[in-house]
Amino acid sequence: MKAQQQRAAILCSCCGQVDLTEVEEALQSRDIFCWRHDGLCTEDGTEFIAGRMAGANLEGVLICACADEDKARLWRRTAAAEDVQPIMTSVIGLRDLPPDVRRREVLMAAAYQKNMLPVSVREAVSVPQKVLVLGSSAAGLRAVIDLAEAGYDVTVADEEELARRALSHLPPDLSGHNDVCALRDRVAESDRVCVRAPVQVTGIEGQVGGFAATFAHADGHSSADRFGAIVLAPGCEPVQRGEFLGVDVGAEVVPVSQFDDAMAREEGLSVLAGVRPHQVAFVVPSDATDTEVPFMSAVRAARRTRRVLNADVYLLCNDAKVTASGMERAYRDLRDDGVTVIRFDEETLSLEEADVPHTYTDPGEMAHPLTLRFAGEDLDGAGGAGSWELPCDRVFVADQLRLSRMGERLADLLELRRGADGFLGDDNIFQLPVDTNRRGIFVVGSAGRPKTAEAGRVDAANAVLSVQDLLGGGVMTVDHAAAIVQGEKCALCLTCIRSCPHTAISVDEDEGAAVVHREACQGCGICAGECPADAIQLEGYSDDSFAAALDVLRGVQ
Amino acid sequence: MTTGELRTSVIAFCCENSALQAVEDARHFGMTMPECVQTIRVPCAGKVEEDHILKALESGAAGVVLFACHTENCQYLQGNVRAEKRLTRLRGLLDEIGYPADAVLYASAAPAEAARAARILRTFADDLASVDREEAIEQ
Amino acid sequence: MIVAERKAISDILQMIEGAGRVLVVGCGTCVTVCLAGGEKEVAVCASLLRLQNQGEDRDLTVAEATIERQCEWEFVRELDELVADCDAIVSLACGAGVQTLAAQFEDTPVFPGLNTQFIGIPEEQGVWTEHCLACGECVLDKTGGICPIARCAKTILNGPCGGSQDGKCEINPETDCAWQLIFDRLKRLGRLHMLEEIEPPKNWSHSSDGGPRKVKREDMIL
Repeated sequence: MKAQQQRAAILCSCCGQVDLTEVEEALQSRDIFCWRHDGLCTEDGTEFIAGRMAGANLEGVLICACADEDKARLWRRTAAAEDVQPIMTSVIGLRDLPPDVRRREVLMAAAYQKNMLPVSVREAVSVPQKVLVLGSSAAGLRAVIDLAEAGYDVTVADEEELARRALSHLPPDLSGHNDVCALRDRVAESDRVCVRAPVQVTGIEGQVGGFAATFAHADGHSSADRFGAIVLAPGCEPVQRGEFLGVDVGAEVVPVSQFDDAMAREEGLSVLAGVRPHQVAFVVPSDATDTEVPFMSAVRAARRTRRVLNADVYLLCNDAKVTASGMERAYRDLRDDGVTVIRFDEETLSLEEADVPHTYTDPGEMAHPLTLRFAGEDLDGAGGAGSWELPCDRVFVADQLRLSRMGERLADLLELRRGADGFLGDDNIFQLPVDTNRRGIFVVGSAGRPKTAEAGRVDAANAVLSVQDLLGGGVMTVDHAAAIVQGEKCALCLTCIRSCPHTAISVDEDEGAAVVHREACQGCGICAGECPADAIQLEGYSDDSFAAALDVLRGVQ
Repeated sequence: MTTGELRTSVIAFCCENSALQAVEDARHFGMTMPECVQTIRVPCAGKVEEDHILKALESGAAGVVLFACHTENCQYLQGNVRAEKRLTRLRGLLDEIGYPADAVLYASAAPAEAARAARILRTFADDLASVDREEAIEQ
Repeated sequence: MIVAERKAISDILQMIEGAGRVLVVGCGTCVTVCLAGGEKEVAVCASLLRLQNQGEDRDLTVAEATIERQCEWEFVRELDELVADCDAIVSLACGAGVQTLAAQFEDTPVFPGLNTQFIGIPEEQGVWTEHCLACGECVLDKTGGICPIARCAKTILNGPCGGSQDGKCEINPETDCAWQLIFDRLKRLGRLHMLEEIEPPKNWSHSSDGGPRKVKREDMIL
């Protein structure tokens, strides 16, 4: 608990010119301790102030003395050196005020300060040191391991076999695949981790510090448990494209997300049955999700095509996103590998299937079935700017990504806000890096926003820090003002429940009223602002305190 | 007029996550601020209720500023959006009774924008002073 | 629930003209839930009346009170003292509440501050739509739970009319055609055969068209 802090006043009598009795009485009636001095404007005045404040652990000070702006600033700095903020350091000149006004001025300053005081209400709640991780993306598995190592009992639950979804879009010959397999094995072996996969999450009730989750297992039995915090890691998935530029997506026009599948068929080469491609284009259209992930996936696929097939590879993009970490390097490597990167004008892009293929000199080789036309500029300068006509054997299109279906189900179940693109991370900077709109529920990996594996690892580390911050050593501290509903006035209009951005309010059937869950409330007061029955008060900012502030401002005591 | 003339002419409800810091800094650094502004701290602009603003006007405040965080910068995600909607409605209500609707202002500032906060308050106070309030009500 | 909307303040001002001590009364049930006449709206309304008066040359005090339900004698009687002190009442309740106040306080003019609109539901926060006209003879069993009396602009019982276009009503293109909705619902329920029965003209005497109605529970009369 914080030590009880006081406020104090330092009163200057201006060499006896000012009668301080009334002022001192008024301040003491407000529990403000007073010190007197004859001439604070003199040299030893500031020393006096500093001396009295040293070690006094004040939360506010009123200095009643004549001071010009420079002096006032000096005194505020002096107070700041004792950890009293400028807001809580008031300087009021009394000598030049008519005597009957002095008391009022001083009381107004004191009330103003009181309004500025942070509300300190503390409650310690003992909480289970258990964390539920929902979904087993790479970032999620990393979070499971890190949380277990940090001493928490972790349950990881997924609708499919552990890590199945993550592995489904990582080709076996890539290091990422091995990483995820290793993580999955470590999770399975750890005795601090309980694995529930595959299961259906049938319900999650309660709030931070006491989430009650129920699971339905494949064999029909159900299980339940209580958790202090939840980490979501259901991942993202590509949006199915039916067609691209009027051509059906399938054999010749392929989404980048299916590139590895396409490569894996037919002896590790292209989807063309028995035909080697000579020319392949990767297109990153503007409807691909606006993070570095679709571009990076296209870059990786382009480089692999170039190296494995020795084809002529073109990458069409508009925004190389070099600002994301690792991008500039990836882009340089791409060009060094001999891929031609073109900045293209998407409005001029068209795709045609050839009616009459032109033939190659080598017999048995099919010629390019597709023609890409566009205006664009070779970023290396070699091909120059202008109109391009590119015959291609394959066109790979970068994907639009969306929150996985499991993620959507969880968002509904937990009443989580989703950002403009539908991911769980929302677009508000205050939720970075791993917060959701609900206290105690975190999101890691691409479910929050499509991101690279590295960034997902960082998410996992941040999630552990957040959980530690929250659950402490088994005791969660709730130390902010919360909203309180007056049950008798509540008409159960549900306005507060709907407007709460943190899903912290629910209906208490027994009370017949809304109830604010203190541990989840973040003290914003929006509910109090909306309530049509004036049934909700926010601690420290009640209607009464506002009325009192207005009274003081009016000079009515 | 109600009893007790308001000492200040402008009441500024300041969100403690942004505008409050800006306004206090403006005072602290000696930026030109209208003398008549009194601040009331709120945890979020979304806390301020319409009847509070109306009571402030009833008590004699010439104007009320609802000082919130910039769009999409609300720590509580939508408090400033709620506040702005309420203020729009309130202006409509003031119009209905023939009261100058520009007596209430919605503004936003970041914690570091002391100069901006000072400028907004100065402009607001100047605008209020330039219109005779009694006349405007009688119309 | 009953959905109502506040009257224009200028209308309310006209009603109370000449009064010097006004009491604004709110209701803690339906109009609180539809955000038109609860304690907060009472405060807003009262403040607006006072603010408007500041520019005028007359004395006006406006008192505020909100009771649990304005259509109950017991609750309304709680206002005895406040009413004794006023010369006009503005009721922010539905028509039933206004009339209960007026009946209880026969020597004080009671004015309606709201326009009672309909029995309806919140489609989403802040948007209410009409769903029930209290016709006194519910046919929802025949129409898959969608009311052709309240939600069809022509209150036809064997719809749709010829003006139904793309599922929208020709009277108001923003309104869904109720009979389209009924058709879709009955189809989903596998009960389209219900539409094959022709409904005879409605006996409107069961509704307000038959005069003011009364409902009795003999066993509950004390």
